Amino acid sequence: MSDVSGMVASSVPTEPGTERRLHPLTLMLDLSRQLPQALIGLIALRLSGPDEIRSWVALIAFVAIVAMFGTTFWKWWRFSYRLDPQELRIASGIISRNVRSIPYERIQDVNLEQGLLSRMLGMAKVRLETGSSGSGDEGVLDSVDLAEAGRLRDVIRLRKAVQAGASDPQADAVPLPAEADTPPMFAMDTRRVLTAGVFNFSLVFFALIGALVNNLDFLLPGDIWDPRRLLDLLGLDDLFAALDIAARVLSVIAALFGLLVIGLIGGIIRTGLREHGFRLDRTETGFRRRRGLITLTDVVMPLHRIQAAVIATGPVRRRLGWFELKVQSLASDSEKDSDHSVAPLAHAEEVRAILNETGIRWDTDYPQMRSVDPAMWWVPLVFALPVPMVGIAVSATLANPWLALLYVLLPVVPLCSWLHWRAHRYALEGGQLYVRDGFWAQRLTLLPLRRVQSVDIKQSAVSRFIGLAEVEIGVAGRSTAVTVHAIPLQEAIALRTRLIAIS
Amino acid sequence: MSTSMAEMLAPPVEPVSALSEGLRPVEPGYAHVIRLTVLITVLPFVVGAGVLETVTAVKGWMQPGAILVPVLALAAFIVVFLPQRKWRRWGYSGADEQLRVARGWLFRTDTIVPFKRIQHIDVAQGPVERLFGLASLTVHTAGTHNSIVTLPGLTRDDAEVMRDAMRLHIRREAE
Repeated sequence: MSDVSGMVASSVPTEPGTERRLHPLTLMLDLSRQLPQALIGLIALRLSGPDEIRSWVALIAFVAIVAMFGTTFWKWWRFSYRLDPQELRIASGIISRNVRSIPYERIQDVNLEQGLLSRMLGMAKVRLETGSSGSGDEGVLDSVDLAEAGRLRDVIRLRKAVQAGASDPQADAVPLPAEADTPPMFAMDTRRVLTAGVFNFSLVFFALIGALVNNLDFLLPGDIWDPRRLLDLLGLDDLFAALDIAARVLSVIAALFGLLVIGLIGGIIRTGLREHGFRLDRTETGFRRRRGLITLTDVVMPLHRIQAAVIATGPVRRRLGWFELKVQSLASDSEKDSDHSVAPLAHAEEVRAILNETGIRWDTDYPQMRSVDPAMWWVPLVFALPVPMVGIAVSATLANPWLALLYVLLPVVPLCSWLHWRAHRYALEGGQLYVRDGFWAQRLTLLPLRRVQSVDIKQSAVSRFIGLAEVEIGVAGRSTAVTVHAIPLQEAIALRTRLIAIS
Repeated sequence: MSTSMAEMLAPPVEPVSALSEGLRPVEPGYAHVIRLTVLITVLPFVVGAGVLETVTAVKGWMQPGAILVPVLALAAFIVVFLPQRKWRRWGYSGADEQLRVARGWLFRTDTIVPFKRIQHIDVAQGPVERLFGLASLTVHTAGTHNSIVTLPGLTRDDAEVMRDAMRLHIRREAE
């Protein structure tokens, strides 16, 4: 499927390129996306619209479909792109025309994406990352012929290199075709993908079913959620009544077990869909990642844009020696995700091998790192715990004495808080800041000091009283700050000085 | 009244903690900017209280002044005293090729942005600021957190001088 490679980079012409349109089959894809909605709308109109309209539905449908075909075709006809010597031009718009010029040197990544349909039709979506803070839709060609997509990528990379004044532009552009033969930096076989799935326990299925039920509510009887009604419906009423308490307990355990199994299966399926055939290659300028079972994605990450690395693991995975490596890059591969996972499930030495290429080191870990002041866990509790304590007392006296049993659950809160404190450590070593968070989802952030954009020292009235502060570091391409919590003010100031000095 | 008071208070910022060393205060006139902005926000509430007061007084439900007096007292506190305190919490420094901005008391934040990390710079002047000849300087970094750091309460000239100093750095770093 990965025939993106195998294209030959064309030489640099000086005259404007030819206007090209998107693949004609794009029309079909667009229509296939719109049609279901339109059909549902028409059916709804036929079934529930005002009486006088119903008989006209056929005509309306005809007009609507013709209009849909017409506008889609017109849009497609008016959308064109052109590879000029200096920039990529994209002209679009039916009535109000918009011509966008993207200089090659501004294009950071050229990413290809293939959905199931476009794979069958031999097309790919080309996404140009320009690194602007917008939605990432600055340049999307949806979709072109796979060969054309490969050509676009090669031409853009070549001209970008020429514009950037690279000494040997050819060397920059050629590796893409060549690297299919070289062994990948990191790849995951099916077994590894399945193992990753096991750790990706996910209850997304339940969310899906929940959403479905929410939307299809009208099909179900109104009182379906009443347990008695449910049992009645399933014909289990008598059966359940006959069961003794032990059986009920067993059935609850069985239900929990079922939840676990469904969660596991959900995780495996989700991970399998995303990570199938995971392959990370080292190109001349950076990494290239290909993955996906149904939707294939092909992402290029230039090394010089990588800002920080995150090594994620969990208590079980750590014990088994599994880690996930993500890098934070200026351009994000999708709107919701600013980390690029470059190794979803890897052993420590594999992670180190990949990190070596980025120049980020992983020299220290939890045991050698500094812990922060214990005030981090107990101070919030002073403010947070009284509320549920009083709440439980009040409701137990007023409503039901059994509610006092909730006090048993209360120690969970300080326990979690304590575990979080224990998991939070930091270190400043070898020109890198290491920050570790989370006892369940453990994340170790590796931040080279030259990537520090800004540093905050924050103190609330309470932390000032105790003499503590937190340090927040702004990093590009990451929505939240890298934070070191609860360290003495003097230490915070010293840390800040060292963070800024090297940057 | 507060010009003299402001001048009295202006010299070194009374150190809130070790954090405040080496900070310069923003222009005293910024207290007026805060005051005027706050006044605009508070005024509708005072008017509302006045109306309520009149209504209840006419109907005889409450002692006269039961509403207006506390509201006026609170408004006076917010408008007369708080701006001075708020102004005092602001501090900045442009030394060592870093922009340092400190603000707030209940939640104090002290930000440093190295000049060479700055992407672009705004000098902005709102209508209230223009009234007092002040401007605010906003720097943008590439970071997503803290990508915008604003320093209000500079004279227009100071703001432009700082901007030019930073701009030189941006150009130098960009080679």
